[in-house]
Amino acid sequence: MKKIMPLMPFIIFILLGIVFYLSIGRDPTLVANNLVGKDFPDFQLESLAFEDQESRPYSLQGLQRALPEGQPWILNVWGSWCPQCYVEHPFITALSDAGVALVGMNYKDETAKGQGFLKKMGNPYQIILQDMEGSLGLDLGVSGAPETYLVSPQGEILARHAGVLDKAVWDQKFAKLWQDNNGHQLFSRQSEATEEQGAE
Amino acid sequence: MVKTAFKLFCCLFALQLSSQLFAAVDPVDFSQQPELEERYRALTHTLRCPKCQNQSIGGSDAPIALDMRHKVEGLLREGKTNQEIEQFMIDRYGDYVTYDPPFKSRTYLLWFGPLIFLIIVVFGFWMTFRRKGDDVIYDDDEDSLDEDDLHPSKGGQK
Repeated sequence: MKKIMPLMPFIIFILLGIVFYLSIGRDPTLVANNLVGKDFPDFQLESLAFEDQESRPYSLQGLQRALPEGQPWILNVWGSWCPQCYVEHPFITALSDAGVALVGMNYKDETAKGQGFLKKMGNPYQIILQDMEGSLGLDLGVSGAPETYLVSPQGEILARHAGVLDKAVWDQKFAKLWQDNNGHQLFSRQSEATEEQGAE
Repeated sequence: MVKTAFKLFCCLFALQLSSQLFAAVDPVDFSQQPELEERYRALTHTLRCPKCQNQSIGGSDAPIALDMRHKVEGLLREGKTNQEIEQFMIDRYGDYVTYDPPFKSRTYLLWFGPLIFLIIVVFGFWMTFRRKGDDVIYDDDEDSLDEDDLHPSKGGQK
């Protein structure tokens, strides 16, 4: 024991080093959510009028009826005030092009600014809800934008991602759940083909 | 020295008081139900802002903290208990959202960690002082030896 004592500061230093090293890159705000595995909360929200879509009220039931039956769907929380939303928009558009049922939630924004965002960036959403007060946001445990939720055909929240959604995050967090829940084949065949080409 | 330390202490103390000034200003009017105000204040300081890691929702200017304060206010007016309000937030944001984490297997380390650390520190002190004790006995021997050695030479100089 006496021989270990002089080494104690060093040992403590190493242990602390390990603890700190493990927490590098871990953002605790990302785990601040408890809704994965629970049912999507009910809501009453107006939709955002855009081009041929008129503003009309939606509840959870109404939303599910308007979406393709038996398919999982994506809720994407965005706002014109959110810089990262511009960054992730091309990938959201790619998802839409691949036939994913996308619901946008214009979060704590103004109608005109939300419309401006879509005019400039394109509209990947089938339905755009407006959550000006952040009421559905609160029920979903949203802490900011962008955030993305994968919802099963039965209305269960399967996955949640806070921050920019891209191909890497999709593959890691969403792809398997998407397929397990009756989601149709997305860009995997194409991307595998391009990956093989890249490898050659 | 003591005076300087005291001055420094006063400055730091004043500085820490001033943090109250930076806390979010909220025009919440509980004049109709004054009994709610105290609970509102307590709740907004035990609930943690999900966006800004080390601030309570009462001390944060983040939009989400504002929404949560409004929700707390609304739930209080609906007559919900403190526990129900905390549970409401935990259901949505997880244990992260409270500064008073529940006692369960996942939080054992959190609850017992300080105790374990204290035991390690006490053990460390005990080891150190036991060794010091050995040293003192050893020093005494040496001192007495020194005196024995010195006295004759001192006497010789005189």
